[in-house]
Amino acid sequence: MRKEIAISLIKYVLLVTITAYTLIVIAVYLIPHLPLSNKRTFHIMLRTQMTFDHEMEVAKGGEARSHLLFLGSSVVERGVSDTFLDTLFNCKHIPYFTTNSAAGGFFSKANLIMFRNLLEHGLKPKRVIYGIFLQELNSRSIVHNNINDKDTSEITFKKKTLWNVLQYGTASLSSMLDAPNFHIYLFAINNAFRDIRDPDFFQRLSFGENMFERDSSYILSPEYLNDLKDIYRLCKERNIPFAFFNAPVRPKVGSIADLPYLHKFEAYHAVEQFALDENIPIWNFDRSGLFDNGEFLDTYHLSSDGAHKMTAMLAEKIATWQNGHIEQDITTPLSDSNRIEIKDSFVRTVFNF
Amino acid sequence: MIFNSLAFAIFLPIVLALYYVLPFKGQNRMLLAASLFFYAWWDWRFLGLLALTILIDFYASHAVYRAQTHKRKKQWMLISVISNITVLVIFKYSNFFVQSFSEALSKLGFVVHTPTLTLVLPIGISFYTFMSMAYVIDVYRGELTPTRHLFDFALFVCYFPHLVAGPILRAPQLLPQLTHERRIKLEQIRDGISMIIIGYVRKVVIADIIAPLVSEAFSHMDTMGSGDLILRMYLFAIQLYGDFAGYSDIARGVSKLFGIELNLNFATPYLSQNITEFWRRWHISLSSWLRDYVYIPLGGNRKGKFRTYLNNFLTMLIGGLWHGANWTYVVWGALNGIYLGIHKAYLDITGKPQKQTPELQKWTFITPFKILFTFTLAAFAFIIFRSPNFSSAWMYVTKMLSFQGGITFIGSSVFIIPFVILAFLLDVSQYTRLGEKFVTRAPLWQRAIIFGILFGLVLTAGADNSQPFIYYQF
Repeated sequence: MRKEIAISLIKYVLLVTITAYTLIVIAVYLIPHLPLSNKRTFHIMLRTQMTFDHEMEVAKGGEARSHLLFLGSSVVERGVSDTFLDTLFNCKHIPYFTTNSAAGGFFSKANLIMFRNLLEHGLKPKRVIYGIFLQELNSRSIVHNNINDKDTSEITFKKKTLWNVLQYGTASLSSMLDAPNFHIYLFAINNAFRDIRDPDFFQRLSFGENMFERDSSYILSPEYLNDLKDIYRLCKERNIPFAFFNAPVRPKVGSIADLPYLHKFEAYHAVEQFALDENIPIWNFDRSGLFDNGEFLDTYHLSSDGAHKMTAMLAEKIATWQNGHIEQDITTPLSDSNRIEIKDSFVRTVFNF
Repeated sequence: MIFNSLAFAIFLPIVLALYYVLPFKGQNRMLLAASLFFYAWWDWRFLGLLALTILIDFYASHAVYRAQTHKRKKQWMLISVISNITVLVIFKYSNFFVQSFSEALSKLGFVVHTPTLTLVLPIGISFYTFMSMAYVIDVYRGELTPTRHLFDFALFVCYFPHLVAGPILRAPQLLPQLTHERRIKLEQIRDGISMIIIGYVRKVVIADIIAPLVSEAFSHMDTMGSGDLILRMYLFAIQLYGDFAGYSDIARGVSKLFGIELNLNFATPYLSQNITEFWRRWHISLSSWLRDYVYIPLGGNRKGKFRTYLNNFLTMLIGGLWHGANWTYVVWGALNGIYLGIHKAYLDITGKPQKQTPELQKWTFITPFKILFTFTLAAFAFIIFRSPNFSSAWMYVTKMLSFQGGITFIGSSVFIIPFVILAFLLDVSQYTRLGEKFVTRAPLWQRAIIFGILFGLVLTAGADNSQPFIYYQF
């Protein structure tokens, strides 16, 4: 009798477990772009997986185009339309296809982890462009999706083999049962706030509201600058041409909460100095007169129209760069004029005019 | 060791395998050893305290049983009660009482520097002391003959499925199952596994997924609108229920695999139509313990109307304090005492009898409104239960009732809907007994699919998230 009980127990447990794992495996393969990751690394691995998936999709189409990769944060994610850029390339007969792998909350460390994994797993981009956000090097930023790891070498991309899916599938799916990660997922796979001009009620439910958080304190992080330099080093080692651009910021400061805006020159200056030292192209779109307030969703993020405008400008810059020209728009050495601009911005902020 | 841990996932199959190969006596000894190991996994040093409670109550129960005079019996019973309460006071309430006393004095203008003890709260102390103490009281009342074997009594107190978070079992229910050879039935295995999976769904899929939203509300209530706070008040009620009922389901399910039946602790409390019914369905083992060992000894309803109301109130007050050393729990208990008092007064005035078997009540169009009203009362009281202090609870309630700002965090609020529906479906299937019918009658393949889906959800939700059970702290 006891033997019968034990066998019955084992049989039932096995049956339920096999059913559960079968469903888990099916779900992992069925959910588009779902990476094998945990909740902490989901943000980064999702973009890594999406980049690989995009490359595979283009390769399946049998087109002989080279990969142009964009890295950066939300200002790049929302500011560069890869589909529009591909259309422009097509018109200009430039043989590139674009992947915008930048993501909201990304900063140099997150980009470094993603980029390292992309290269280690066989991605061969023809060119890499990194969009600089004014909070890019802010160690105090609360908008960075910080993973709090000193050693990030353990964070590795895992291919979706059956064994890996069995091992990591549950952790991977657990991100879908976590509200913030689920929204990140929906946001990423829909290119929310970039391709969708006016999100309707259900889209707002899916993507969340455009309630970006503002940083209130700022300290330039040498560590983040080194991460940025490491990304360049990885490119240099593989002879991948690399470029920077400064993403635009809404020209008029709206409120006291936008004060970190004033720190942009410190980050820009550090990056520009590095670009000068290494002879890296750097294109500055944060110049007065290029964009007006109507082309922004908020202080930092371009609207759909603004994104198309900047994408068109980028297409011109890339075409020039492809012909071997290194353009360096160095406009922000911390000169007296910049200091005046900072002071002026501050006054405008405080008195709101 | 907690039920939602890898350690337990390894521990349980080993214990089950040993259990099935051992003879009866060996089974009990192994279960006792396993239970002690289970407890020691958290902190082995507290085994001594557990052993002390067991030894005192075992010998007190025999002394009560052997005593020739009523006075002597009472003395031994009191020794047991006082020793258990002393253990509880020292480890759970000492700092609370000292600080409260000190604060009261300081409000009167006396500045007193009172010493506080730095003690770790032994896990499950409120559960096992109540069980052990009730055993001696039952012997004193002549309702129970004490077991002659210390090991059997020790297993009764330490039996690992109920040890750290209940249900609070009575000796007449559990001891005979421990002292007599058990014959496990195939149905027990089937029901046990189903119950374990349902328990994990309640804990890992429902309670743990809701938990961050609730924590957010209590830590950032200033950024939230009234709509958010109302929603999260209900969510905390669902979280707490999922957490605690989930634990009870797992405990009952695991115990079934050993052929030992534990009592139902939660009988779909949120489908209650009034607050009295709610308390008959919520944490049944504690409610009935308080009824038998506090309310009835206080006089119950035998000493007039006023005393009945007072006894009811005092019992709920003690029930609140049982949950933790904080005035918020006491006030939570008091608020529920007031609820019960009002409901009793309503019944007294209208002359309506309180139905004893609520599940047999007919549903009418007004029933859902009664259920929603009762659920709201319970959820409102849980705000105090969840808050770290009164100012936080007050801030939550005033902000919530200011009706300013709707639901600002729409995305996460929508995200949680499927999990709330799942919680509701589980309760409806329990209430209507559809779940029970499915488990007993459905073919194996259908059960495998349904429980496979649920188990898959558990594995997924629990893969990267492990939160301790709320009731472990009590």
